Amino acid sequence: MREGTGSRLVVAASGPSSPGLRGRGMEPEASDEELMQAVAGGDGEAFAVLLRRHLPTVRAIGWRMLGSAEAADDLAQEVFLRIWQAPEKFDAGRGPFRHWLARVGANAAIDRLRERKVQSLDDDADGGGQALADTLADPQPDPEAQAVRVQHLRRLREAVARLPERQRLAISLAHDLGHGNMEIAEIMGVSVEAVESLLARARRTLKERLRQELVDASASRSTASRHEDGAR
Amino acid sequence: MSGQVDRMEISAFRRLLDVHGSDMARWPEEARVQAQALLLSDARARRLLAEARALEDLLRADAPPPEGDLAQRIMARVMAGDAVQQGGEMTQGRQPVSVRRVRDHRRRRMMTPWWAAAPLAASLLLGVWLGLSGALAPVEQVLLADAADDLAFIMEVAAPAEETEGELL
Repeated sequence: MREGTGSRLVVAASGPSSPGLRGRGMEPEASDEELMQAVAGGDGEAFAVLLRRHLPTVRAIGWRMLGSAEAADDLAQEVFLRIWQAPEKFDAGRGPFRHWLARVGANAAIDRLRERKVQSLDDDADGGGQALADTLADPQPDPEAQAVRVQHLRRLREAVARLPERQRLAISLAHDLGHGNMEIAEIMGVSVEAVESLLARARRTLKERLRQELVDASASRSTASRHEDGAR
Repeated sequence: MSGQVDRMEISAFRRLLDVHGSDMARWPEEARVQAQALLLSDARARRLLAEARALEDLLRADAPPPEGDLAQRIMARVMAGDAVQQGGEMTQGRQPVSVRRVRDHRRRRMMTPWWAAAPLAASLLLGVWLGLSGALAPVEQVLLADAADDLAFIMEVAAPAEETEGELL
């Protein structure tokens, strides 16, 4: 979209001070459920607020489940367009919007994984070819440390990609979205015990597959922590 | 409660780490107390905790890159009424009420005959002549400018909708 030609809806999407929402007695701080009610009535500004608020959630699921930023973005587009086109599928009586959204995102991601498996079993091999160095959340100043970090993340992605779908999803909901085990159970529609089992198996497998990387990371963590203590 | 804390086995500690992660605030209360005691006395427990934290750090570091203009792109598709594939079928596109309202408004305006603007245009010409001749006070000149805006608006909405549709996106 060209700058300067955005409608009022897009303005609302990019900032919390939407006069349109206020004019209708609906502050941008309105709950997700209130916003969804407005979306059901065709309110694009309410949708824009929800989109801003929850886009990172769906992208995080897509990133962990599908392994590339491009796939995560495609997933987010599909999920939010679905929500826009069929908002009545959300039932506020059955739990909070964010749980429903995570479920919709997870189901869409699993569908895509299954389509991908049908198309090519080799596609997942390098996590969608994402340039790891460009995506580091904590780039290292030292090139050598950066290279080691990139290698660790590559191994992590390979290890995560080899987890069964449901274990991968449980890991994403716990670590990327910060949900507790009970919330994960609600989102995945399984018992808490099942979630505990999924998470325990996933974490154990990841630790086994990443043993050396974790030893290195653990050592550099304690070194960094000692340096910080020394600096104080 | 006595001051005595039951000793936790290392296998139970490992299991709790796998089930709940390294943030002990998420562990059951009783297990947390036992785990703290074990950490003080057992180097293997400390090693396991460090390993769990390292895994979580790695997962945290592997975050998606910034989303860029993705939200704007999604909104553009919403505004355009794009359809999306669902379960092998295309759903019908849907547009926000504000876009529909503007379009309906334009359609209604387009039904207004061109000659409806003729009296306003005539009075505008008269006003322009009066203004140029210096016969109007400043307030009246402002009113005249407003009338010119109104005329421009009427001509704009009478234009084919396709010509101005892009403004909404």
